[in-house]
Amino acid sequence: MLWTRAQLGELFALAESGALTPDQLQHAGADAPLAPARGEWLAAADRLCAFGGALLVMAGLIFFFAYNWAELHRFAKLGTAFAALAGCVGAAMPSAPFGTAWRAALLGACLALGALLALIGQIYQSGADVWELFAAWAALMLPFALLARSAGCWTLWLVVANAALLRALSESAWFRFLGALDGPTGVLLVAGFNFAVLLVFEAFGARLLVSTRRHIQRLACLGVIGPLALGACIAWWETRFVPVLPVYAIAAALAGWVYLAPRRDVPILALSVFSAIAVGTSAVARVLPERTGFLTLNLLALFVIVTSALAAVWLTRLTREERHA
Amino acid sequence: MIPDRTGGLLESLQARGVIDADRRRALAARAPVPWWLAALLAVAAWIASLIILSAFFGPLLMLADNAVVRAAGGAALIAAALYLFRRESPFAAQMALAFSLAGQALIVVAVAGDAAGQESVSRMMALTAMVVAAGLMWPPAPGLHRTLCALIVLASVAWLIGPGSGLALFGVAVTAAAAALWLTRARWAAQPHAPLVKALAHAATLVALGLAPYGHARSALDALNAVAGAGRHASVPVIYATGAAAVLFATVAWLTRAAPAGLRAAALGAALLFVPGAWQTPGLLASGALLLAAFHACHRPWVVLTLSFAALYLAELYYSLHATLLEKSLALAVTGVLLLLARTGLRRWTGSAAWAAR
Repeated sequence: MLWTRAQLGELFALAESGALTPDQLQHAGADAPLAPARGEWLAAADRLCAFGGALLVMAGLIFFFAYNWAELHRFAKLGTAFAALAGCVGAAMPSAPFGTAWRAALLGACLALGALLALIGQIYQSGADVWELFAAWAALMLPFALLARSAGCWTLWLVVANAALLRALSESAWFRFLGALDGPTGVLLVAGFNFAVLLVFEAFGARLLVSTRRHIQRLACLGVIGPLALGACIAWWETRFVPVLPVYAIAAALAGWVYLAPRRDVPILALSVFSAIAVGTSAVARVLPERTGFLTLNLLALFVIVTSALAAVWLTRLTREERHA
Repeated sequence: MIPDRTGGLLESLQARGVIDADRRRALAARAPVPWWLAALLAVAAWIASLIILSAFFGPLLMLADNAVVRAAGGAALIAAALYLFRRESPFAAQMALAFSLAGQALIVVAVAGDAAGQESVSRMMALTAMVVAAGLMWPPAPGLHRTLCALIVLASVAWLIGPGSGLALFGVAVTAAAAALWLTRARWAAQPHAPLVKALAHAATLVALGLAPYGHARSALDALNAVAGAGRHASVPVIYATGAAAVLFATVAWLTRAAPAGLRAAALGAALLFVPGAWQTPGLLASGALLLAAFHACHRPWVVLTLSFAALYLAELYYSLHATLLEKSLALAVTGVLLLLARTGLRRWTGSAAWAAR
């Protein structure tokens, strides 16, 4: 039986790590060659020609429009964007529902929709803020994401929706998005929105996604834990962030409880644990008397090293348990 | 049940009699730390390392900032890194990496003294960095550290060569070396020096892909060169394009050496046809050769990265000045159509039945 390309990659990596002797590798190559089979080369060439060809034709079209863009009438510009959107939707229609082509075409439609909205904003100069563009994009993209049931579409939706929220809340001239996290209200709102998304995907994930992979749940959890941990770190130094501390503690504890037993998810547990280490480090730095001294800095480093090492041991054990299960 | 790697590799190895059950169990227990945990540990380790470094070296350099102190500090950090590398823990490995890089930087700065901006001193710094990094490639260390050391060596050599035809030749030579190393992966993978060769292969591939835009016709780098006051010699694009085309052609020839004559001629013909199309953008030729080599070596990350670099070269083409946007648009569209036609031809040639199930 021939080796698959994935197996060969791992086989070489094993050999390079010293786990296999030259004789063993030679033995492995005795029955089947240690190179991709003809079928794999053909499949790769087929994919490269298809994707490469489509990409180059698209790039050629973009270059062509860029060459003529200034002279194009606005209806021609809008027609082009509409044609791209219609083309993607049209490509999805004959495809098998929820198959690769279906999901790819609808992801293309989501992207084309964003380009169309940006173009409308550019041509008509409606005076709308950027957050409104993102919000409209997220709202109009929702039907495509619901139809596609793909992690790609939902990831784009979650990123765009977060961008709309961050931009709407940010009052900073320099940090147009992350400026939203400059106060406890912004932190709590962003975390709350992502928590709502997380709840929806935990409850209805099977209906919203084709794949059983948990990328969206993890991304949403990052949107909950990340801002809260940032706020909790600052809370040790700025009193206005203090309300974030108990919310973070509840969120981290809840994540630890839910994702350890009822719904085992080690990456989310790792996120919670390392965010707790960050908040703990900030607390230690706050309570130690001398903030920049030699001893303080080394105690801080020692705290990070010890807690990270303990976390690594525990999380590695959980990962191995998961592999054994 | 024994946990296995992707695609049941250990099970296959045992079934073929390459390893026995005990060995399989031992290898399964050595499964690597997942990437997300390694990334989180890396962040924590780097933060801890930076705190320790600032605790030790901030006060030390404030008290006595001279070449001897810097060199001694650098040597101490490298010694600490070499000790930490022996501990088989991802956290210790990342701390050691931070210590090693900081130590190397301190030694290079110690050589520079107070005249870091001068041409002769910058060459001395590059030479020092090259020697120290080359020395640090030998002791046992994780692949990432060796790869970074190899990168420092190659970058230092590029700096010592300086802009011009020599750098173009160096870029082509590194591309050829990277392709050759990946093409022969099966031969060196189980050899005792494999970790070192692999680090060189990674570094050479990254340098080859990173340096390739230097050979592009009227590339965006021209503007950088003009700002730096070092105009690019007219021979550079020609050398780069010729060299990259030769590497691509040699790669295809090597890969098809055992193929039927018809298939070999078709593959070499396709490579030849690709050369004039990508002549103004030799990065596409280099990334094409490296893509084939990485695919042959079954190294998925480099397959993805070479394609990503090819996409970046195409994006850079938008800003290059050798042709108008209309000409570039036509060239891209025609190449795209040719690729789609090639796909149709490939399917017909290999038989549609083989593709029906895909």
